[in-house]
Amino acid sequence: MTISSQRSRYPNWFLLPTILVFGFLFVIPTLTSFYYSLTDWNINRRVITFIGFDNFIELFSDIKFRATLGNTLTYAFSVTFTRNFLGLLLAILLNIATLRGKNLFRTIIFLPYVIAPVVIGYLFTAIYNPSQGILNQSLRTIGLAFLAKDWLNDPNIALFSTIMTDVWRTTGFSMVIYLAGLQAIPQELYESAAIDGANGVRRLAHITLPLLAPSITINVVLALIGTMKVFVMILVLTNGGPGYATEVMNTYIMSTFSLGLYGSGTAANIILSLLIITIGLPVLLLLRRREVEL
Amino acid sequence: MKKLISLLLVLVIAFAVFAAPSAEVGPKKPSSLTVVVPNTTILDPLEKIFAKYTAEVGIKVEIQALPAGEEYGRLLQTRFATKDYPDLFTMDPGTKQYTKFGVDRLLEMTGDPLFDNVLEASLDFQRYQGKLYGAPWGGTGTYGVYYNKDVFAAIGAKPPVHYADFLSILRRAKAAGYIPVYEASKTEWPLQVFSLIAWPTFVDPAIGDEGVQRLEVNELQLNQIPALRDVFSRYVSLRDAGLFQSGYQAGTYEEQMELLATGKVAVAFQISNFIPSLMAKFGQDYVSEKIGWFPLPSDTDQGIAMLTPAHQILVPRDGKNTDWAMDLVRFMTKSENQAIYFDYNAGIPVYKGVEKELLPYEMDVLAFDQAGKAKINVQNRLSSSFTDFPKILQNMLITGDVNTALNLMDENYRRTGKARALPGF
Amino acid sequence: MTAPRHLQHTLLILLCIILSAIILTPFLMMLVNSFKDVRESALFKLSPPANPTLENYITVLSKPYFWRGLRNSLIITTFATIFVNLFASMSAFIIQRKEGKLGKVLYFALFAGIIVPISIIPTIQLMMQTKIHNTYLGIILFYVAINLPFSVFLLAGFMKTVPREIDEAAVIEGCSYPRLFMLLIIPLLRTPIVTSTIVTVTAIWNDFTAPFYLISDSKKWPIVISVYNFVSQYYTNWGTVFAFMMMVILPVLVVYALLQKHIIASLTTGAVKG
Repeated sequence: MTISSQRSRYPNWFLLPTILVFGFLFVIPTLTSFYYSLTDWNINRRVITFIGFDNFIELFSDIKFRATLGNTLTYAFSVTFTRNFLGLLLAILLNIATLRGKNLFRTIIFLPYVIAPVVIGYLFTAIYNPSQGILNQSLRTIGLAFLAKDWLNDPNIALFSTIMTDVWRTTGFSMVIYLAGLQAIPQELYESAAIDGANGVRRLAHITLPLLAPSITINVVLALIGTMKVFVMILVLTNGGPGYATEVMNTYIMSTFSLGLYGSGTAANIILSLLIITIGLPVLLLLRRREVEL
Repeated sequence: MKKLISLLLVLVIAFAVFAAPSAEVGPKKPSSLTVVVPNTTILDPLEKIFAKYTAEVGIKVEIQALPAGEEYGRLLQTRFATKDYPDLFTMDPGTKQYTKFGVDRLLEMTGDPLFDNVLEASLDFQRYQGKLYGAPWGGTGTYGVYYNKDVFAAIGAKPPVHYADFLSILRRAKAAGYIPVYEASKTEWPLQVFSLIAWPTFVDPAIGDEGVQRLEVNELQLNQIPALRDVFSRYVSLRDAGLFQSGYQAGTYEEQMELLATGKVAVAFQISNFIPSLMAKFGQDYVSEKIGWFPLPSDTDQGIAMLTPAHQILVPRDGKNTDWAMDLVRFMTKSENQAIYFDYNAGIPVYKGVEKELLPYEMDVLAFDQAGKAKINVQNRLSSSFTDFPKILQNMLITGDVNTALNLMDENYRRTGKARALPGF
Repeated sequence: MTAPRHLQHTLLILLCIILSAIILTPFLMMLVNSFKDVRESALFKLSPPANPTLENYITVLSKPYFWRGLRNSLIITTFATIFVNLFASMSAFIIQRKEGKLGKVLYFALFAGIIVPISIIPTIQLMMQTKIHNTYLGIILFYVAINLPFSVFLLAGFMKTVPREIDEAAVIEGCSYPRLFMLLIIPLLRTPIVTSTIVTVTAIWNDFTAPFYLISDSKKWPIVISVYNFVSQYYTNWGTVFAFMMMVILPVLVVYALLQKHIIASLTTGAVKG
């Protein structure tokens, strides 16, 4: 009784700034977006009319938009998988107690994550340059000239190249989350396992991975949400091209916005939200359940 | 509590400082004017003209270069919507730019003395319902096929007399080890040039001015024009015949300039600003000597030249310093300042009395025009737009699918017309 | 026994060096080429410049919009970060302590804010209607709104470890809640506030999307947008582009070098808790 009355005395007005700012610039636009997506709102109209689901129908009948959806999913799942796989390996490597200079290596591998993506995008347009870029130059030097490609302009590999750029940029982040997870695993578990004669692989499968489950969850979910929202990297690397080979949701939204087709752009934004929710939430719940089971 | 209140007070003050509107400027002389241009503009002549203006009038002029293309129009429209007007800005040609911003939001310039100096044909192009809202800026240009004269000489070619001749020249160039056509696919926008220069040669004769009029009011669909389908097919078959440079998907505008000027490429489909860019890099004499121009030939003759009207300067009606903005517009369009512009830019002047020696290729263009064999860029004759056109073509070059490209072009054209609430859409 | 161990260790070190090289080479390329002229820098070679030149840096530093961009980034980042931390700690304090209905609703709404992407076009519309589009105030408030959820989670998570008895003792002694918050709670939240600051500063300093959409006046562009506009004008001169990009990342590199341990810890504990 006294506890609850004491609790009730905490002043609610402390919440006010957050409610005002977040409500004003996140909640209101999100809610009104449902209305706008059902209108013909565009830059040339001063009066907007309700047109039902026309924007959505138009979007799904647009081959460019369908390509966009596919690219976004490919991009999100590929980056998420690759950066988690590599991040985990790197974390295990850089968690070896006896490894000299491991802090320096961690710092270096994490570095790209603090650099503005727009800068990294431009840097990689230089690196991927088909004739002079250091990627093809090095491939030729080590006798792998047949692997030298026109990384950003060949429609078959352009998306792959943007994926690898993002992997390069964000693997360090995944690695560090895994490192934090690894460091929380009690050392005794490994010691007793060693006494039982478990080898490295078994220790990985039976101790490390199960106990890393929370880190895996957070890493995968963060990566999926983040990569589905990718924008500036693609804008700078390929601008969605060649053709529609690397067009993703946010570059598509940007181009409809540039054309002043606001209703349509908002509808595309809603589809992106639904995509993130329908993929992000189940993954989150699934992984959470696995965490418990493990 | 006191501390919290004083902290909140600080916050409120900080907010107020940011939110405070900048001080109102009266009718008196402003200390500076803002001019917005696309960031593809060659800035040197503007900087020179503005330095002169500052010296004479005492007003500083600041250039804001914004991203070019569709983004440019959108940024300016946004600034109009938020009443954050620049003092003046340059824009693509055509009265459709007036309707984009709304004529009630642009300063009417009808009757301004600066127009006394404009050639009549160009003046007509600025009139919307009998009124003038934009001052022409720059010169009349042309899109076309630009060729390297040395390469043509080496393979014994002259500007083609018909399309088959054109193809045979390209094949000969290829056989002689030159790149027949360089396409700047990566840069995207140059991909439109072929179709746009093919329009006067192939599409206009097929549908006539009446056909364009029907497109304007959405009575004719782009994908129902066989001549346009034919143009797209010709374009794809150039690629199929291996007449583009290898790895054309990576082609850039820069490399296109470089390779055409240095005689590695036979022809490039380009716009007239291509020439000043080349001159900046390789020198005026070199370029006039080496680079020639011809229109895209038809199946029977040399074809029709395509002209692009001059750009224009617009002034927002509710800008803070409209009087001084107009003063600057008059200054910029004075003959001697136009001459400074043409020191750096190509084109045929639209203001009388501008001293400009026409380049050899411009004489050719003029000859076509005087023979009645020239047409204005179809984009400038229509109120809707070929939205996303470069991307559509880029994709067509990947898939080779002419029908899809045509349908997309049609869809975008009608969608844009509808969005602009144009009559008929 | 020790020989293979030693070999294994050397191999691992070698592997780490190769991985580090993969990360560092692009930056190295940017650095050396920023000292080269137009023609040489277009070759993107890793070799030291044949004729080292500072021309590129002079070009960049003489651009008023470089300095303006830097100033704008500083203004926007500083104010947004202060407000995020202040508002987030106030909310976290009440949400965790009071466990009231309002707090719970807010907490859920903030959770949605982490997953659901912003609806940029309606946001612009709203900002235009309220006349804060294209203003520092507008973009600062926007950043506060989108960065609040994470910071609230972080701080609310940490609040759990601050014993309630502190509050109770203070309240019994007649201390008001705002006083309690400012004098006792804030100092105890120092660690997560530092974390939240690092996360927020990194997110805002490097952000491209918000100013791209919300600022149409180039005088108010932060440095990241200046890079974008600069490159579209100068992309033929890679030396100058690299010099501009070096200048943009230099402050970040310096801070990262000085605080790297703290930054890594912050960004990840933050992420895990969030």
